[in-house]
Amino acid sequence: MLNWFRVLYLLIKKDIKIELQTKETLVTICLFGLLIITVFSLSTENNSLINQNFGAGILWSSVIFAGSIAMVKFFYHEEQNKTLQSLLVMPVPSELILFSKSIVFFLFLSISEIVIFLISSVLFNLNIFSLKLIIGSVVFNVGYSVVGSFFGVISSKSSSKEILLTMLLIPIITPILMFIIATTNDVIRSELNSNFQLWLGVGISFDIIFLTLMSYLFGKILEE
Amino acid sequence: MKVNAKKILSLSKISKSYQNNLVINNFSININYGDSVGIIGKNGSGKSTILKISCGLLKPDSGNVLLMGKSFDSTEESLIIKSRMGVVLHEDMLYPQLSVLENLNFYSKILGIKNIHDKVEELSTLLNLTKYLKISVSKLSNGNKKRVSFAKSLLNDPDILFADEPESNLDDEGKEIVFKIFNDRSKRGLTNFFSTHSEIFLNNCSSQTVNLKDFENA
Repeated sequence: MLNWFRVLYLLIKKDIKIELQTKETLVTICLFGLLIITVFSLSTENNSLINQNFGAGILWSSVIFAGSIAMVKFFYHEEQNKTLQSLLVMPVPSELILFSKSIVFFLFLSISEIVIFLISSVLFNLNIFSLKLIIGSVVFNVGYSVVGSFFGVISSKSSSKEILLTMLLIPIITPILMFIIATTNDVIRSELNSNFQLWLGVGISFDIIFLTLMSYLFGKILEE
Repeated sequence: MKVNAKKILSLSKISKSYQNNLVINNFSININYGDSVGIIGKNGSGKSTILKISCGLLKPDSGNVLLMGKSFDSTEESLIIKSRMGVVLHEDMLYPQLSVLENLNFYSKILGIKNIHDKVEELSTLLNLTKYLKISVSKLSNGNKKRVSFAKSLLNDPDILFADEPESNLDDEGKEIVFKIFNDRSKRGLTNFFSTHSEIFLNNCSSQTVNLKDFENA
């Protein structure tokens, strides 16, 4: 009898082991994210008004674009070496492949965000570390990782994978993007009377709906 | 685990096309336990497609596939089938960043193999891979990658082994080893289903030959 948790653990462990050897995903997100942040920080000249008004947008666009580039790399190797096919002829339920990819990408994204947030707080002189933002980031990262992993597989077969993934990913994650930007704005501006709980509900609903939908559809797209 | 049915693989009226290019038209075949069946045909005749449909990697446009009396359409049945089959394709389907041993250990654990150490040792000795076990797959020659791919597909001692041009990339010694593996499997009542361009391989390893030319006008 197949032990789902054991197989999920093996898939996650394998991806982490590969990342520890190559360090590709983490380095891509951190470096690219920090480059975007640095360019913006140079152009705003540390103007506190600009930072307060646009800080959240700058921060999350760096995470999203850096994340999507890393996501392309994450799946490109699987497609190139046909290792996804290899798992498909093994007793591995297709949804476990999606779950494992999403969990591993969630981990890499969360670690990279800590680095990007730390540097951003210094460059933009913003105090962004709060429980609200941590909760918001976790909810955002779950949705982004699940939807990104799903479309990462689809786009990995395309010759213009970078553009395709971004074009597919960003419109779909708009609800959680709005949620995390609203939450970050609240934190940056230290606003207390916000609709955080309402937005949190939107974010969690998005995660649940897309996790269910994507795990159902993932097997279908893998069948070609 | 043996299934009490004579037929191990049944393809019935399979058709498959790629972007309006019909590759397989109404192809049917029944393979029994212990058979070693080789498919031959010119390039683009659909050999690889038939193998990929047979092992569940591709879905046919029409027709039925039954492997060990079970269908790939049911998730539960599909998992049972996959735990009892082995697949070697053109691509090595290995993680190049990991060593040979790490690859074999990973797939053994996925397949739920009990004595992983013994099994890996047995297969690496058989395929002459012992000295490469700790080397990263990316550093291996194509021939040795093919050997690792064979070792991976034999980890669960599969009831049926699908192999797409098993002789490709292998040197004479490698081919001899693969002949031995196929013949040994046949003697033990296990099934091989492979495609090839090699007459020698066909003569040495197959009990039946399917020439796709015979199906062209079917």
